[in-house]
Amino acid sequence: MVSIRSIPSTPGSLTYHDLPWIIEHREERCTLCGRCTSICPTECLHLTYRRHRMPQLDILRKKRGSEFRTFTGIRQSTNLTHRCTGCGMCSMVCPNEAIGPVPNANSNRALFHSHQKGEAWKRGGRRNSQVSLLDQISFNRISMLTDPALDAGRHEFDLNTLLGRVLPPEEYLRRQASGEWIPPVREIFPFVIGSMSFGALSPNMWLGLLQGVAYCNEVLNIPVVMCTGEGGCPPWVLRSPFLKYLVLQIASGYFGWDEIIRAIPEMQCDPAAIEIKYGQGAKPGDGGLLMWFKVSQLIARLRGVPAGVDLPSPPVHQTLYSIEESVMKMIQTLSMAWNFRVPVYPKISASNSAKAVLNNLVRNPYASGLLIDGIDGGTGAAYNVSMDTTGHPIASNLRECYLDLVAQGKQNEIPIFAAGGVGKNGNVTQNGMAMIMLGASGVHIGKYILQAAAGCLGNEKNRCNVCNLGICPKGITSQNPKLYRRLDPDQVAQRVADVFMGIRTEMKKIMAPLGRSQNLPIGMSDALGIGDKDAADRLKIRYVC
Amino acid sequence: MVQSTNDTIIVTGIDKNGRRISSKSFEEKVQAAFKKSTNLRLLTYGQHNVGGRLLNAEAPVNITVSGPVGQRLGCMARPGATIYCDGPASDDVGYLNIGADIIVNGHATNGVCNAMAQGRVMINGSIGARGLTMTKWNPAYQRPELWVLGSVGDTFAEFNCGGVGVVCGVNPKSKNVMGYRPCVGMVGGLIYYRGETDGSYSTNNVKEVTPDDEQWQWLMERMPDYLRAIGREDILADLSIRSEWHLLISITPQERALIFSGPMPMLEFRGKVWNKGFNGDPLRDIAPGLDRSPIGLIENGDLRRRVPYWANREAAAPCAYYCPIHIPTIDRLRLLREGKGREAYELIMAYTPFPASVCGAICPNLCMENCSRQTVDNPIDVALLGRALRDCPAPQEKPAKPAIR
Repeated sequence: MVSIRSIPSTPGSLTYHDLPWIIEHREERCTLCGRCTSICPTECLHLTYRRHRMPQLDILRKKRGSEFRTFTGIRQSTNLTHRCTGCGMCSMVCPNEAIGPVPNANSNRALFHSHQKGEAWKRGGRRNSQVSLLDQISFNRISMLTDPALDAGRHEFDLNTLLGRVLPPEEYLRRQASGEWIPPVREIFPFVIGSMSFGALSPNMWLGLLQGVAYCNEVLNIPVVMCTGEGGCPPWVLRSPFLKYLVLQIASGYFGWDEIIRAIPEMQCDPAAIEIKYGQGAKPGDGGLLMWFKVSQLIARLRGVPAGVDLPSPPVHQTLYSIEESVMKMIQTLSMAWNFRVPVYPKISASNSAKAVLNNLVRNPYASGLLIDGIDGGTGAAYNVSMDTTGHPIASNLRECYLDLVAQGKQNEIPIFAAGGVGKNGNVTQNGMAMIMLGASGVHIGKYILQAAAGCLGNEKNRCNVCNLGICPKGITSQNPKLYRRLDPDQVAQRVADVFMGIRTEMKKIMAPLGRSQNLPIGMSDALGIGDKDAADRLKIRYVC
Repeated sequence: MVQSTNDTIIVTGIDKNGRRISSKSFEEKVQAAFKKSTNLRLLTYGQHNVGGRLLNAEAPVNITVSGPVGQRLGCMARPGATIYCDGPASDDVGYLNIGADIIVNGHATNGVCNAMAQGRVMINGSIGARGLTMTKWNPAYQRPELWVLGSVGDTFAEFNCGGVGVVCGVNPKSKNVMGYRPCVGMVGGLIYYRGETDGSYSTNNVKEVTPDDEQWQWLMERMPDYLRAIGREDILADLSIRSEWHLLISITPQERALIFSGPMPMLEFRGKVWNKGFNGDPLRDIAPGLDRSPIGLIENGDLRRRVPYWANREAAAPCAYYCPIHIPTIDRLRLLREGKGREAYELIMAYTPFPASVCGAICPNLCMENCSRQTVDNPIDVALLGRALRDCPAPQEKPAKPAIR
């Protein structure tokens, strides 16, 4: 029995108004049905009963004193392990609009206690910053009477991009005439679903995404591809006709590659490409991280690891010692695995040193492209300090790499793909097209697709962001069947189709006024403007006001 | 008042020196001549906007155009006028026509009937691109009509809102009689056609059907008029074979909404394409029998995520809490209510050997001071309960028993 007078006061003691989110519970509306307490992913909400003192203020009464009533209702935990993350599931299930989280407008003192029990703060999501340079870019070169006017609804557009090494015409013809090897090139939709592993995502989410991608390709004729991430790929998917829509990722953890190699002789088709992950924008210099909460029997089986253990990948591939060797050895091995029929490209985190990697790729005959992932990229699990402060914003990094290719006259030969914060505030097509006009051949979107296709609740005000703990209330990043079965793969697939149909239309609406319909305006930076002079100078685009 | 005679007046598009006059001068000559006669013969030399803007409410207006015709023949032409061009015509025939019959005895190039709202354009040949685009229809008047003997060019009937097109497919310029990608943005009107096409019409806007009885009757009633106007009555029988005619009609917004949600329902895709690609569950080898079927947010039974913790006795009643030795008065009352006086007595004796003197006399009874019952009427009188034990015989000696709480 605990005395009501025993009020704890320790260095970590917090009260409601120190927490990032405050639960607003309206007693008069609450029916005590208990749905909020059963849905709360962090077990923050609990039923509580209190004695309420009701002072008697009637001064004419002879007998002064107080009356008491019993309060029964919902209160939030002030224990940081069970803090409110603001996900809002309580208000989603409340039949009576009686409860919901409200962001704390005052200081969030919980931040000072985010390191607990010797562990630095780990979370999922992306950098907690709503600033997006890409959002500020507008498309200013409008062709009206000066160029053939295009109509987004009427004219036909070729919106696809090329993934793979494009040879100069004379070299292409020479090789074709002499029967020499010609590097594989894929024609794909420039918005790629970025690498999210089977493990980071729940089975229903991962398969729902792939189903949507297959629908886009086979029904809508939008050649969307998606990357597996480094968790391997279910063996029956490897042997299915849908493998051609998948970019298989190999990363320093090498999870699931035994199954891939085992399946190669039985594959019905080649994968879209192979991505070699050297770095990731959300956590540069860190490898992948799948926390033990999420290593279920199924994930353990697919990855070839024990269940219920943390799965960190090392920051570097263990057998690589230099940049030249990394590029040469890995690309060659992976190209050879499919007899040089599949494009192979590395993924790096955006960095001041990206140009050095790019120049190595330019000299490598087997390199099919480069993917650069900026600081705003998302992840299923990383240290908060990596996510928030480590890395390089994508726009200027991509731009200087592209201009470096232009200086060498190679910009049409080796595609650069960009990622990290595309669509972070919902403007996915605008962000992606700005990136393309800055020089990207395409963009990868991960977090956006979780938000758009599966209703991910996370945002850049640190809402939810518990992807690492396996308690995702929408079932997107959980491996608990009681959670991930909340997600219907058919509905995810339908949303993927809806999203890509929308992006396709918006791309036309951006391209038509520019007078472009027959090829993607890669590097068409004369169409771009920004109201920030410094950014305009840095990106070498027009300053507009 | 307009003084008209039926004498035909000839207006020529060249001056005395044999030089072409401007479209402006030509139009001024035409308007001057029209004040004298409603029958004009215009010898054009490429002048634009010829034959339109001529209105006479009393007599029919007959305009014959010869020579190289400039663009926009019959531009803004009025009801009651018949404009006959005895050779081929250039771009935009019938531009913004609001009621005239315009007959072209030959081919016409691009933009025929652009933005036309009423009247008929009848072509004895084929036409170029973007015919019947942007047409309108005011229900107070007749629908605009375009009759083409041969084929039409690409992007036909874009944004067609009310026009009726008839493409007969006789000696077509192109084997693909409807041209490439017709009917984009078409929201109204209908198009009859006969002959081969590449099927590239905009499926977001129109669907292909066969003419129903009413539509067929409409066509057959007007066909002789058209053939007479172009002097081809000889082929009426060839154009009267119902099975050769097709119709493109605009689809409703409701039908379009279904198209935009994806041309194949996801459930159908799952059955026809997705499941077949794996010959079963894609995870059957690594997770046999794993049930991944969707569930709700709040579930019971085996799918329940949290088992409730019953917090009975988690907190003490005010009487027990404020009692210096925490006598569970609530339990004592319960036993008494159940008629278990003996057990109640033993319970109290486990806490104090002096219930009558302590609870009944010495103790200030903090239990009673804090009793919740006093908010209803009076607190439980624990002092009385204590005094009631004064005459109870002492319990039998028993081995020492630890306190319950």
